[in-house]
Amino acid sequence: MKKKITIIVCSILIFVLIALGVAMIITDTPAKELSFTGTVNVEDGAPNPAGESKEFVVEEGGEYYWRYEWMGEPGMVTGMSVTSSEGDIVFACTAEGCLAESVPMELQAGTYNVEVTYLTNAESMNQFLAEHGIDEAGDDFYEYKENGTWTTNYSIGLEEASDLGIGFKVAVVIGFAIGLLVVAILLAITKKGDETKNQFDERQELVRGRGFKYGFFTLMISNAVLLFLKILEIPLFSNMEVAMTASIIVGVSVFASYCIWNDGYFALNENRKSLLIMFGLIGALNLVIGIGNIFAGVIMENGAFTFRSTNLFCSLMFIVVFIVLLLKQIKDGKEE
Amino acid sequence: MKNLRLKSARAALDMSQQDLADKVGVSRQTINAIEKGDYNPTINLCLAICKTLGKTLDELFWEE
Repeated sequence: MKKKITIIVCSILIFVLIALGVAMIITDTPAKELSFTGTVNVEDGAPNPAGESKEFVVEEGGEYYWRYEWMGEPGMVTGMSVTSSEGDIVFACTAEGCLAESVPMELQAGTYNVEVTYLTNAESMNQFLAEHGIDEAGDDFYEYKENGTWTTNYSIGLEEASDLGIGFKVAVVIGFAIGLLVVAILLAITKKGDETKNQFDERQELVRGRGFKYGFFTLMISNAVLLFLKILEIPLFSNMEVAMTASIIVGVSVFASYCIWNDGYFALNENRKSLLIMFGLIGALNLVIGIGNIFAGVIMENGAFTFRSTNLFCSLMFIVVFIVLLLKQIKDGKEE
Repeated sequence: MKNLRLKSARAALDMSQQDLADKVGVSRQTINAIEKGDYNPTINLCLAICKTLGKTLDELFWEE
C-alpha cells in the first residue's frame, strides 16, 4: 500500500510539473532579439569592414539584462558594444566566442546602437578596451590571425531582469520531474514487497554510518580547498557552481564506494539487479549527454569547465561505482 | 577471532549462510562477517541467532 501511494503521489507531481512547464512556455513573452551575420576579410591584420552597426529599439523602459551570443570561427575576436542614443555605453565586451548575460540594468525606452568591432591585433584590442572602459579582455587566449575571411553569427537579446529566462525555468521544472520519475521507477522495480523504506541490518547501518562520515569529510575538505583557492585567486578548473557540484559527486562516490566494499550499500529488501540496471541506464544517459556536449564544444569555456560538464562528472561517478562493484565481485569470488 | 562454533552449529542444521541470514533478518554478508570474526554482533542479534540454531549464548559466543 505504501509503495502504491508513493508512486501515485510521484505520478501526480510529475503531471503537475509537466503542466507547469507547458504553461510557462505558452505564457512566456518572447525576448526581444536581434540576429545578424558578420563577414570580415582580414589582410595583414587589417579588417575589412572594420565592424558592423545595428539599431536595437527598446519599446518600454525598465530593468533588463542583455543576453548575447556569438560563435565564430577561431581566430576572429569581436568587440561588442551597446550605446544609448545619447552616446552612453550601456555595456561592452570582447570575446572570440561568447554565450553570456550582462548584469541587470535600468534602460530607458529608445533606440540603442549595437556595434560590432573586429579586433585583429593587440593594438585594436587595447584601443577598444580603453574606449569602452573595460578593465580586462573577455579571455586571455586570443591568437590574432592576420589573413583570412571569417563569418560569425551574432545574436543579442533583451530579457526583463525579473525573468530568469524561460529556458532555465523549464529546465529546472523538467529536472525535478525527471528526478521524481527516477524515484518512482526505483521504488517500483527495486523494492521487494510493499515497503518503501530501505531495510538495513545492524552491521550495514554501522558501515553506512562510517561511509557517511568519510563522504562528509571528503565534501568538507574539497569545499575547504575550493574556498582556499578562491581566496588566493588561484584559477580553478571550472566556475564555482561546477566545482561545488564536482565536490558533491566526489563525496557521494566515496560514500558509495566504501559502502559497496563493505557490503552496506544494498538494502535487504532491494532488488540488486534492477538497481544495477537502473544505475547503468542513468550513467549511460549522462555519458551520452556528456559526450554530446564535448562534440558540441560547450563543455569548456575560456579553458574552464562549464555547467554542461556536470553530466560527464556524473557519469564518471557511475563508472567509479561500477568499477568498485566489479572489484568487490572479484574479491568475493576469490574468498568463496 | 573466527567463530567456528557458529559455523559448525549452522552446518549441523544443514543451513547455508543465506538461510540463517533470512531467518534472523540480516544480510548473508553479516553472517559471514560474524563467522570470520570481522564483526561483533549486538546482543539482540546474538539472541536471534542462538534461538534459530537452538543453542545458548555461552555455547556460541562465550570465549573459552
